[in-house]
Amino acid sequence: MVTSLSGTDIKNRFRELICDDLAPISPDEFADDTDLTQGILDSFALVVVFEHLEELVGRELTDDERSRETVRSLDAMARFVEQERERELA
Amino acid sequence: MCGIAGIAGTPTGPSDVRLVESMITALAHRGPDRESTVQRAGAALGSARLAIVDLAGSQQPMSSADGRFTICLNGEIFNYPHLRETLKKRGIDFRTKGDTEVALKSLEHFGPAALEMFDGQFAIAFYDQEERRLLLARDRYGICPLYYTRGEGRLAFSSEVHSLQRAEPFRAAELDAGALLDMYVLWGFLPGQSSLAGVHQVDPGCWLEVSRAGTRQHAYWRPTVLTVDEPFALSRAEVIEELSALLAAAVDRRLAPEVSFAVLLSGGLDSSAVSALARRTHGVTTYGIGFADGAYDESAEQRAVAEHLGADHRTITVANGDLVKEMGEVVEHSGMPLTRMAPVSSYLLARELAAHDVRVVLTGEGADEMLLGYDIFKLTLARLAGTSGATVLAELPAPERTEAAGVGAETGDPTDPCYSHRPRWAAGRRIQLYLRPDWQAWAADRDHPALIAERLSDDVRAAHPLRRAQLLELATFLPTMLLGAQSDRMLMAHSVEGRYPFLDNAVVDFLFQLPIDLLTPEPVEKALLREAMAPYLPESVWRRPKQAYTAPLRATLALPEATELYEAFLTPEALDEVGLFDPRRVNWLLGRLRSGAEISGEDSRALLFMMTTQMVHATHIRRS
Repeated sequence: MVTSLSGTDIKNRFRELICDDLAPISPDEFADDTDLTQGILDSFALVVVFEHLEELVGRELTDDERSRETVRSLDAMARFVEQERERELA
Repeated sequence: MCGIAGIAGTPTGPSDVRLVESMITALAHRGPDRESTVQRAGAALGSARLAIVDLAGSQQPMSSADGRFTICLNGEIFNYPHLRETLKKRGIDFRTKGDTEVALKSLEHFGPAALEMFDGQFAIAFYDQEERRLLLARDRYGICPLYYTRGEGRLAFSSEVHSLQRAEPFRAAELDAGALLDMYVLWGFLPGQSSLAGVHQVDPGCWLEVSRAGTRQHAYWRPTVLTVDEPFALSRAEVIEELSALLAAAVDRRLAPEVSFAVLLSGGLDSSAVSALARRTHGVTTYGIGFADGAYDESAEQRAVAEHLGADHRTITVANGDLVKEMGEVVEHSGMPLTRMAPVSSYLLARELAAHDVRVVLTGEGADEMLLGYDIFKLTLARLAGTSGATVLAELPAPERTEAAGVGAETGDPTDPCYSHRPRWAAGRRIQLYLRPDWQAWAADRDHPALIAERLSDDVRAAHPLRRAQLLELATFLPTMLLGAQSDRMLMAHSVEGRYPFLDNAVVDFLFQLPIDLLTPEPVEKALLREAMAPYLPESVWRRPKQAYTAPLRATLALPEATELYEAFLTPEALDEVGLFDPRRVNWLLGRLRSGAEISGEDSRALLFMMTTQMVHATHIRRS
């Protein structure tokens, strides 16, 4: 079951996760559309972010979905969850 | 090999000779047999010699009979007997039996065109006192180092950067932080760069002309690769036969019967191949590194190969604590920050070699570049096939995967000149997070793919993406990390010369002319070499999947002993002094380490780089 969190809440959740556990970076140092794959998320962080995405969409991601596009930015992550929710509703 | 150093440009007098003497003394580990310095009009040149060929003769610096030309040669010209005969046919006489005189007279006779004739590993200083012209040249691949800098209108050169720090007018006052950050991201220095501000390297395959008109670098070699559509005549069986013959000849050329020599045996295919080919003609002693950490240890495989070959094999066992203990020495000799632990274990092995009076070692370095053995080639192939690379990487056997940045790597655009290396370089940008704001801004604007792409020739751009990947490895990782930090500097710290049959000119030229399909790492990497070595090695060796030669990084950085290094080099005060890394951000990483949290391969690499950058500053800048 896909989470009912709003796009903003999803972004806030990932922002908090990144700043608390995954990178020495403050919340005000990156925007919703900052490319996180250019050095902010390392391989360990990518694994953690994918795990959280799986939690939010309630299923395992496919190999194709485990791409950099999915986690390129906070916007992209929120979009992925919202699209999954739309698919579920449809 | 040797250490060479010198100063060119007027005025050159006794004080310059003294400066060169002190630079040469700093290179004594490279040449324990004889230190010598000469003064010529407009230049002073010196050498610390490690005698391997023509032990009694061939003293350096060596001058022509009329004194006009003087040469210092670090390295070996393997085809010198042939060149000597060529010159003798032209009426040129020789008074020694070694390669130094052949190099001197070749350059005297043919000028810089002689460099194209040299099959070897070398750094050369050749001075023409009549023209007041200095030529500084380096072998094709960057096996032998050669640095230079300017001061008071003159130029000083040396085999190692710390030696230049001994000569006051040429002393660098600070690190070249930008060059170090480039090196971190690219896994190699950009052309000309070094760790120290104002200190440059003569690039591999190039010669530097220093004259009254100024300083100019020329290339005498660059890879000539088969273009995608060119026809190729040999069958696969013929290719394997030719490769086998070329490698055997390359090994034969590198054996050093005048001194004690050995082969470094990792247990993998490349070094096993070199050992087997050396064993054809000589009794062989092999040396290997074993790790107390079993995930990295290949000593059982080494013993199996040695037993099969009837080689006398010796292993040193390295514990993670040993890696911490020797790091200071290693950084001092490497003259650059570390981004992997392998140089430290190499340093320990070199010490063992020296203890047994070994002067020359043959190694398998260069095979993974020339025969596409590294994971990056497999990842490139996977991306070309349209898969993300995550699955491929999960299947690759390596205990410490710094290539892990490829997880989730996008397939990308194969026509991109830097297609293969973008995931690796993107992962390297993680270092930005640990920089001070001014350097963070600098690094954010640094477009590494563009910096590399602008240096690529049209034929390289037109080559197959796998071939481009190979050429990028040859331009970045090979000279800086593999041949520089891990091989030359660590071996020569103990007066041991490394020799690399896979970087023999004939082998390299042959492999560059093969269609890329023959080199593809699927279904198995280095298939040609495996088949070529089948007659020499047990099947268990030539069929064995590649295990990358790495030394434990993450576990080593988490040791209590490492804390002492962090407390010495990563304190806010120490970080402020160097001015590159942000103490608050570095402390975040140290805090994670202390708490036992999992640290990624990239952050482990970043931590090692930050700490050893600080150490380079302490040993090369502050101490000078």
